[in-house]
Amino acid sequence: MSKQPNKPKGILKNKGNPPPTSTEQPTPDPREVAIKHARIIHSRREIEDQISDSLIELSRFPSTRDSPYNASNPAPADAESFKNLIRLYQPGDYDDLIEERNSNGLCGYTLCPNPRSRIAGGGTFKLVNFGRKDFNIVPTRELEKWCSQKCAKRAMYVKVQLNETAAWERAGIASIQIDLLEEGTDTATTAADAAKKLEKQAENLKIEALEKTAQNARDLALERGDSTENGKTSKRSIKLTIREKSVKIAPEAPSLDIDSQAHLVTEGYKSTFDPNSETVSQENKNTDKKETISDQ
Amino acid sequence: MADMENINSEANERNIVKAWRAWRTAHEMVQDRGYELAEEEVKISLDAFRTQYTSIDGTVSRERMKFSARPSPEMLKKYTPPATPSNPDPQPDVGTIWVEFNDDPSVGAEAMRRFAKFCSHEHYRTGMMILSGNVSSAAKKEIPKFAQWTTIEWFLEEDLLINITHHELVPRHVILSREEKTALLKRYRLKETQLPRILQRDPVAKYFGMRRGQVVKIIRSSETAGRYASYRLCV
Ligand SMILES: [Zn+2]
Repeated sequence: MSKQPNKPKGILKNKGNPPPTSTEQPTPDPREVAIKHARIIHSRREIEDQISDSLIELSRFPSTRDSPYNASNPAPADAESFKNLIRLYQPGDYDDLIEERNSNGLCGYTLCPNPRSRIAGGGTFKLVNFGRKDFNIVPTRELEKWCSQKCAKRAMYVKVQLNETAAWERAGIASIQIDLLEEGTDTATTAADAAKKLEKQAENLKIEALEKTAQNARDLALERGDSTENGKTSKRSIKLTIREKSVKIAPEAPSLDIDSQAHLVTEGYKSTFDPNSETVSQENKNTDKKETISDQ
Repeated sequence: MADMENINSEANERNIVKAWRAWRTAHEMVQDRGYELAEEEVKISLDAFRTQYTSIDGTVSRERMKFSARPSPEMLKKYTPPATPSNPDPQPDVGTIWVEFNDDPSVGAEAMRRFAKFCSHEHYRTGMMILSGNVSSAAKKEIPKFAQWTTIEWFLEEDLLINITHHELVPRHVILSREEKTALLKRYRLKETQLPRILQRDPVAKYFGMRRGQVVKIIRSSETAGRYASYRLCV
């Protein structure tokens, strides 16, 4: 027990083979690797900060609360900046935003200027649409998030469009578009907008294809051991020099050898058996021995 | 009408008593952590509290309820890392604490950021918020961003109405200093991970503002053994 206390003996059996050391592959400078990873983490942090900054900004929205504008007809500038800022959000961030707006006393839907509703009386559950077909029992907490059920719908319409993938993986993709509920239903009627919709669909398809290729590239990069930064694969730094072999004799078609051992040759190399090896069957060994005897 | 007034004044009275009890517990907590506070500051009577912290209309003004405290020499010593050749003059990792009361129904990210910015700007190493409402999850995410400059802690006022460490079922907790911790590990030939654990969000660990890696000695009185000490590592 006089050994150093900070080096206790493991109770597990010692397998005897130490873990493979990484000396076999050319190891990159650890400092550089560390810096690279620090950069990646740093850029992720930046995006996270960006999200929480915009969260604070959006929790006070809309900036224009004058009479012509309301939740179903928001000021164009507000709608635009909402759609822009919300792009990087994950559904969880969006829930945080709703909570944040509620704690500011506002309706959970970002473009709604109304205060959140307060339901009089206690009780954790409330009956909605009593006596109607769509009757439901809803937690009061859920109801108090919004000024009206319409706003709940509008907010959920945005939420389902948000993506679970981490924000830093999407930061570069400019084509992610978030629609607002009213926009979709109003515009579907006219023919011009139908065309627009088709166009959008085509674009969506394009985005999907793009995402797929990005995914493939990422998988390939992972297979190769490349690291990715901001969703873009970094360039591999391998120096390639093509060196031609000098040709001395004219090429010749292969022909059968005299000793006819050519069929055993693989790329110019003939594999041999170790006669002492246990993997060689006993018969083979015997024949080998006979040969050596007959040779002598 | 007179009834209404009665109910109102009763509610107000209850509100004052609640604020006073939270105020006392907050002071006891700050004192128990090792900060310097005068005894008369900690044991303030309800009447003295009433004259000092209520507005003219008789309601508590929580904006006025704020205080700071400096760490005592013993506490500074306890929180100073040992001198090493590369760092011959180590600085203690505690500093002045700032305590504020807040009666907003809920605290959002913006308010939290403002508070954390204030604490880091004024060089308070610890900032404590005692709240009537809850903290939004975005606000909680603001706290680690300021960890480099200031440690933000928050308590609910209703959790401070009584001082949990004064309860008879809560044994005495003593935070060990670095030297005491090393001595303990040496004496029992332990690695720190071999100690039993206490969570950082444990009410008593929160009370003492324990940090990861600190060890707390828990002294229980036992009918058969007199006193019985056990140790827990904060994780
Ligand atoms: Zn609304």
